Amino acid sequence: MRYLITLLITFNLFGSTYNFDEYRFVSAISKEFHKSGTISIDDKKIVITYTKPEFKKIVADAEGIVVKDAEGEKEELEGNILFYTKIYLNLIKKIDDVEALQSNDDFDVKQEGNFYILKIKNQLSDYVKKIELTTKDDKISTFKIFMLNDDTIKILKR
Amino acid sequence: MKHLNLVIFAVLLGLYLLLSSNIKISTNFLEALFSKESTKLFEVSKELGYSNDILIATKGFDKDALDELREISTKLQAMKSIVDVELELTPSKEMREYFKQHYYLLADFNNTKLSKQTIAKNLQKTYDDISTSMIYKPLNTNDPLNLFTIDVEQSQRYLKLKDYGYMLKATTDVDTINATQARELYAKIHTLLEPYPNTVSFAPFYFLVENSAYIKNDATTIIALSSVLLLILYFIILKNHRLFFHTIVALASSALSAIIVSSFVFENINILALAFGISITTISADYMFHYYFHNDFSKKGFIKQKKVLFGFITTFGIFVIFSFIDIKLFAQLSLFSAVSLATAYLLFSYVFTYLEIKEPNITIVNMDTKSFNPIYVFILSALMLGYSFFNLEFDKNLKNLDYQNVKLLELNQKFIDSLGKEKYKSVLISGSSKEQLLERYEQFASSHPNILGVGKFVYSQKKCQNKRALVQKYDFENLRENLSKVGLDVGFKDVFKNSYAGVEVLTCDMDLLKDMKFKIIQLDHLYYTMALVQKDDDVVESDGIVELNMSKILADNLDVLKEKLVLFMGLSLCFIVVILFYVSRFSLLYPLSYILFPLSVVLFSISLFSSLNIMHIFALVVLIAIGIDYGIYMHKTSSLVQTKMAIRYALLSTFAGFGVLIFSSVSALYSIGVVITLGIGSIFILLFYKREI
Repeated sequence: MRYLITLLITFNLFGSTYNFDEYRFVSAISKEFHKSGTISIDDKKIVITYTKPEFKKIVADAEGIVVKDAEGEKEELEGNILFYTKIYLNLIKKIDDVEALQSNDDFDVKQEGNFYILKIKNQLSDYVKKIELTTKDDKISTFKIFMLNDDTIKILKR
Repeated sequence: MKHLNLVIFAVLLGLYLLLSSNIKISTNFLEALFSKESTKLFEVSKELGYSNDILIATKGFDKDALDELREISTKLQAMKSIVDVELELTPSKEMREYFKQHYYLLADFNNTKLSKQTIAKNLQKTYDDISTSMIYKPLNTNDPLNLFTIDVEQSQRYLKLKDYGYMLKATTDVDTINATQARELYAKIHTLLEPYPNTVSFAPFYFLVENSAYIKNDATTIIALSSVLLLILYFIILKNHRLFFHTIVALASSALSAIIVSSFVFENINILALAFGISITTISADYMFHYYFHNDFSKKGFIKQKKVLFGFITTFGIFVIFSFIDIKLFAQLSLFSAVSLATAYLLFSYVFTYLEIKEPNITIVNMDTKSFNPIYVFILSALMLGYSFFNLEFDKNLKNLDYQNVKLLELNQKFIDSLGKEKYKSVLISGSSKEQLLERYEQFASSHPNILGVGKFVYSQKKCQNKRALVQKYDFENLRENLSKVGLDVGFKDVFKNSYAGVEVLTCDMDLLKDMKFKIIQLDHLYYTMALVQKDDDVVESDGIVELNMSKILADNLDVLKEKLVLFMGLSLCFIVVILFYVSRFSLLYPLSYILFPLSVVLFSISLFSSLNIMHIFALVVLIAIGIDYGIYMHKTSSLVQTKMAIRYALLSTFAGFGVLIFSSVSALYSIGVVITLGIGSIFILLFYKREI
């Protein structure tokens, strides 16, 4: 029985869930912001639940992106912010699949051991310069997104 | 002399083969039936519309489905006849560049002057947002005060077929109206999709291919049935194999002569006119039957049978009258029929007398006859016609004449729903220059703010220059100065020193890109574009603005066609009455019954059970043309038995030639079959009432 449960828990074919620390550097004001939370990715949706500095749950699925706060207030994203958030979440989803990185049409991949440098090939090259990521045991351990405007977003798995 | 029939056939065949390179057969059904204007509209809407799109969907909304679709996309791109495959809806590099370049012109501009305090408040809010927001949004250093706003297309990344899976759209440059090319492409696509059993594909030209396959099968079955019946009739009942053979040859000669003459008169012959013309040729066997059963072939020289002559003149006359109608299809058909009937008449009346045909094996009895009182028939017919006149409806929907391909129609609906197309209706905008076209578009758009079309991306020079002037009038230099100062105060680095820099170099060279989904095409010195408005928007038509509802346009055309046909039918009836008066003076009501009665029976039946369509009307013309012959033959005939026999076999052969269409599952052909069968039935009834006293 225990064996079966363990198997079920580790048998997470369609995605991953992990706790993370985020370091967001905004170049225009030269400040870095630290946040933390949990990311859950599967085929159908992505959920980012921030717990520090405040609670915010971002749920993105086929219907759209909804943001919930601590009081339970829901907001559906629209306009420019929806556009950028979609880009961000799509990126996270793509790079989560380490094995498919080399064959992914969206990136030019340079690999040195477990350190990867990804150059963006598609529309996102208008916003994102490159992505650096490191892996551990064939899974993502850290990644850093370098935006064209010199902002960076670094995510570390805990 | 004995072989004259064969000689004539050989000569005509030789002529035909000689001229065959000059004989052009057209398969353009629309062009033959509709006005020049409608045909042009149809051409334009085809070029601007979706008729060259092919949609392919795989089952499922997961990664595997996408991968499969990508594979299919790559294979499609390798096909010569496919010019574009769209899988991801994200804008291309060119599109993004275009938007960057013309951003300040395309965006909505809020030109209120902003004070330093407002700027400060604004930037402070932005600063706070960046510091506290959990969601990342890059700072817009180009337009930090949001003076320019543009709707970012919130479309999904991939096309989806509702309740099924992901979908791609391929575009072909093949002429999808050309049946052969369409069929080839259809086959290629289905072969490509064979290894992917969970895919569905659809394109508007699939209707043409699948329906024409069904129609072909249908037509082949019917032609086979028809040929078998005719063979039984001619060969077995006639029992004269030589006559059978020579009749076939004579009919072939008639058809050949008609084709040759038509090719001189018309630039091209429509295949429908050809097909029906040949069927009408078989009606000329009537003359042969009449001569044969009256043993007229025994005497050499031109047969002078007054009745056959007048029968021929009336039928020939009707087709000559109709050859002047300005509907190409009917004009061609009528000329063809007139020529082939004339050739057949001459061959049967002269050449056949030299063939030494044996007399038929029937007892010839001359007797007095009694027939129905034409007044009663006339009254009955008038009543039925009266009822029809008040109850008959005209079916203007051309699609109802086609084979009802239920499976494809459902698939069509599904795809239309998924693409959201049925929320919109199309408007065709035209102009004598691109500038006029765009200005008309812009004027139209002012009353239809939700319009989708080229105006989203491209402006007329007038509009562009106006916008440019408006933007450049604003004091951006001052704004920039303030922004820089205030920005540093609030805590930003000097990131605003180049804000709004692009405003100084605005140019009005907006050229349409392929990805823009809306096109401007040029046809015959006019420019056209198609725009979409909400389905329930009121479209006021004016110069260069016309609602493109092809079914409505075709339906209106059908109305015009119907009226022309009815007019010509009226003229033909007058012509018949004149001839009948010459032949039978005041007892012309009797032969006239042979037209009025079948006509009224047919119209009455149609008004009871369905609605009248254009094919019914066409068949009625044929019915009148053949009905009158029988009226003339039967009038005051002293050789009742022979005449009756001749007519009986003539009617049977007409049924075999036309009436078999009643077994067709294609509505257009079925309609013709119904009219002819009912007509023949009613003539049989009239025949039955003529008997010996």
